[in-house]
Amino acid sequence: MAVQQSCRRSKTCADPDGGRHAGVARRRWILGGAVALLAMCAPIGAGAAGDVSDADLQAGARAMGFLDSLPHDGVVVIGVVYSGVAPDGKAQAQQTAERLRAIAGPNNARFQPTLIPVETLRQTQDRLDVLYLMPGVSAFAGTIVETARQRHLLTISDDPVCLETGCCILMVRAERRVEIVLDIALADAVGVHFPSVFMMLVTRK
Amino acid sequence: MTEVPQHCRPRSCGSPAIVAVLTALAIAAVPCPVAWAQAIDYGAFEQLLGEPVTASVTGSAQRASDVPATMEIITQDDIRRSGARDIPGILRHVAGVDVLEWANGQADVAVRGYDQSSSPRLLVLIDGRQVYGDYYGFTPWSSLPVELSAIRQIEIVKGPNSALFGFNAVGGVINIITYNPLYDNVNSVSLSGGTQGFAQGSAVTSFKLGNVGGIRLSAGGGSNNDFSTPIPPTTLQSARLGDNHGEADFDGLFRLGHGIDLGIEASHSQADENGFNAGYLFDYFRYRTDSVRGQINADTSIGHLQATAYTNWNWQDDTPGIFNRELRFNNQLSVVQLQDIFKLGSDHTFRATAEYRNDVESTTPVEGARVSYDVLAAGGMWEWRITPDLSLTNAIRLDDLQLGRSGVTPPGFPFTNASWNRSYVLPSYNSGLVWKPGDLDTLRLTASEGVETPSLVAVGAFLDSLPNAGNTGVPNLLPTYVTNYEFGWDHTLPSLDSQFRTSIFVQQSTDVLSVAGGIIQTPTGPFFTPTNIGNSEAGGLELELKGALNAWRWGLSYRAELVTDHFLPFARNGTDYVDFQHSTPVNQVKGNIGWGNGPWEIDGYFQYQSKTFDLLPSGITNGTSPPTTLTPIGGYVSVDGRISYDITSWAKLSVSGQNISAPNQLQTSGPKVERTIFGTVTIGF
Repeated sequence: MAVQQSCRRSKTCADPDGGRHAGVARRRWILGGAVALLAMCAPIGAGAAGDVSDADLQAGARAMGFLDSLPHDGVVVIGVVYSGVAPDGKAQAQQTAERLRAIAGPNNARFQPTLIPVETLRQTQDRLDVLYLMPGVSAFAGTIVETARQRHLLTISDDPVCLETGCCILMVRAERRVEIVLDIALADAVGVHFPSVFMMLVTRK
Repeated sequence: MTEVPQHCRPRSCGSPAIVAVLTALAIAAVPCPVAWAQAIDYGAFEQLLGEPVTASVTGSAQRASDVPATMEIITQDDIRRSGARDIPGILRHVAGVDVLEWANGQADVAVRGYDQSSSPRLLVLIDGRQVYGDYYGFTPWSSLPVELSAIRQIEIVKGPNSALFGFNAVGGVINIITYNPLYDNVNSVSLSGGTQGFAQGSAVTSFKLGNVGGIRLSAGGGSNNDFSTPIPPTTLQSARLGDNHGEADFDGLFRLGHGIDLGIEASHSQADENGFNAGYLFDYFRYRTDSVRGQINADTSIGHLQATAYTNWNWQDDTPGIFNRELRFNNQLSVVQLQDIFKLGSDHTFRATAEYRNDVESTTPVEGARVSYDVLAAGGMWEWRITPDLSLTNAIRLDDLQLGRSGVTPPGFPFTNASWNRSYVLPSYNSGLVWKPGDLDTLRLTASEGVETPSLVAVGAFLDSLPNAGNTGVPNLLPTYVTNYEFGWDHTLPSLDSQFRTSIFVQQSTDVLSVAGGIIQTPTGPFFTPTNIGNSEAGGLELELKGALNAWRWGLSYRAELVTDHFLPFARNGTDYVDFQHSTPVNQVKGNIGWGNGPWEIDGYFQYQSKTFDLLPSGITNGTSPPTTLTPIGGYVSVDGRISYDITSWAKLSVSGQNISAPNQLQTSGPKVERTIFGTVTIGF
């Protein structure tokens, strides 16, 4: 998975579908090709593997500001959900948590990140307001959606794969142009509401 | 001269079917359970998306880069750095916008040429409320009840947009968006003083009422002398008097509950100014305006519902008016609008609208009668996202306009009140295909048709009866239709942090209106009337490159436009108050460069336009000679600039200049404009 993610994020990678759907390519012969391609783009891709940019996080934080159910106590507890079995999964999540601490949260609130391995997400009892999904957790889509539904949590990620697997309500990326995709059906199922003006402005899945 | 056309254009003949459509829309707008309160928080969306958002093209909130129209958005940053003291002063820096500065404070603005005294082709709104004076067919810029520091952005849509805003949005639309009292904090006071006796003050403050609402209050006023350059003798009617203006505005937005916002706005303004009237005569104008507006926004299970109602009261005195008879206009415009925006699936956005408006104007200088129209309108917009990169937007609107008149008729008057029992169905449309082949490019293909109705003055509110002749507006004028086809391409240049824009357009105007040219013979003498004088065609190219690099910002634009008028013989070559072919500059170049670092901001602007001709009264009033002639205006370059320094974190000192390249300069057929310099102290709190 980490191999595929590095390809997704590297603009120099020659993934024929633009790198957006690397996680879907599970067939062995494609994997072989992907490994070969990775070798070509590794110098750039490896360093950025699983890395969530500041711009992505800032755009995500601003998008959260439109959420109806955000707490009003000035703190947003955000669970950074990562794959405990993926190489560097925890390290990347820690890096993302540090960045979240450093940026302004929605509506002048501050983020209080907490690291959660996706494998133990269901057992987490602490306060959570939002789940930020790191790349590589889509295999646990069922767990994520069930947790979100039970606790009415917004799930957000910069990883387009999470849209395909149906585990993130918002996909927010800010590479050159801010891209926001909203999974309306999942938002309704989880009980997360955005104003209609927001929904007019974003792409709806 | 020509007889006033007595026929009705086939597609303008009325039908009551529109009422049924309106009824259906009204039923569809029955309130449903609400989900979330909202009005557009422009600031939050701009921060989120990294670009301004607008609802001025389709009615639905969109990114500026997604709209199916050519538009410019002037931000508050642009406004501040323009150094301008009024809105026409800001607009003159915008690519493709034409500004005719007739006097020190009075100007007419148009988009893509076709500018004239009392320019009727540009619909101007403040937060969606019409401030364009359709009673007279112009915008009295000095009487707009808005402070520059209360404006979030000015949205300029080029080309017809009647399908969204209704008639008179033919040359373009300017929608002035103010700061939202619920979301934005704006607190500032500014004082200015400069040449020509200029003195001006302005204050804006906003405050929150807990979580239930926000209020913004703004007020301002000022005075100045007119230019001292000579007034052309044939246009001179009035000695110059002092210009002054004052305005105040209350804007509140309240959350009525979980899901409904209520907006209330009230304004007052007054302005006295020198300037040109629609007949290119130098008059002294006194304006008074009042307005109240209420608006409800609600998110419901059937979409985003918006209900708006407002009334504008306009009083205008022109001195000395016509034949030394003062003109006193007394106008009331009431508008009720309903709108529902909803999505079906992920790829289809719809907007359904219904509108009623009533516009009443008293006759002048002969008083005792009123001319009015009632309009029922229905419209729809469908935005189809065909693929993630390709979208098609179609919008249509039908306005069913019913003219009316009541009150006295003077002796020998060639009409009865029943002559005004006429209706028009005015269709308009906008269609746009937007393709984004990549992150860097946007291609637009648009077609649109808008309609400009004759002003209430032109359809009868202007009424003068002398012993052997008279002047009157007439009920049987045809509306002007403007059709526009356009191709546009935007390309982002990341390496230069800049954007290149180009558009090619062709435009046709049919049944152009003139304030004179018609004549009706009666036993007591002739009545002179407005009339339709023919068609006009235009084709043009716009190029624009603008960007920012470190502390620098810059822009350069060029417009080439060729206009061909096909007017009736008596109205050719500027002989009947209207001439677009000679008065629209073929070449227009605008540029700006600015630098900002720490407490300093320095900005410079230039505008060049090639040689044109403008209209002047011929000064011959024997009834057989043409009332106006063309006078040459040489090509010119004008320069504006501003230097600003932050004295403290809350105080700013700036010096601005307009037309600073020469002591005075001929830019119109009116008096030469003079160099103006002024300083401003701004306190933010």
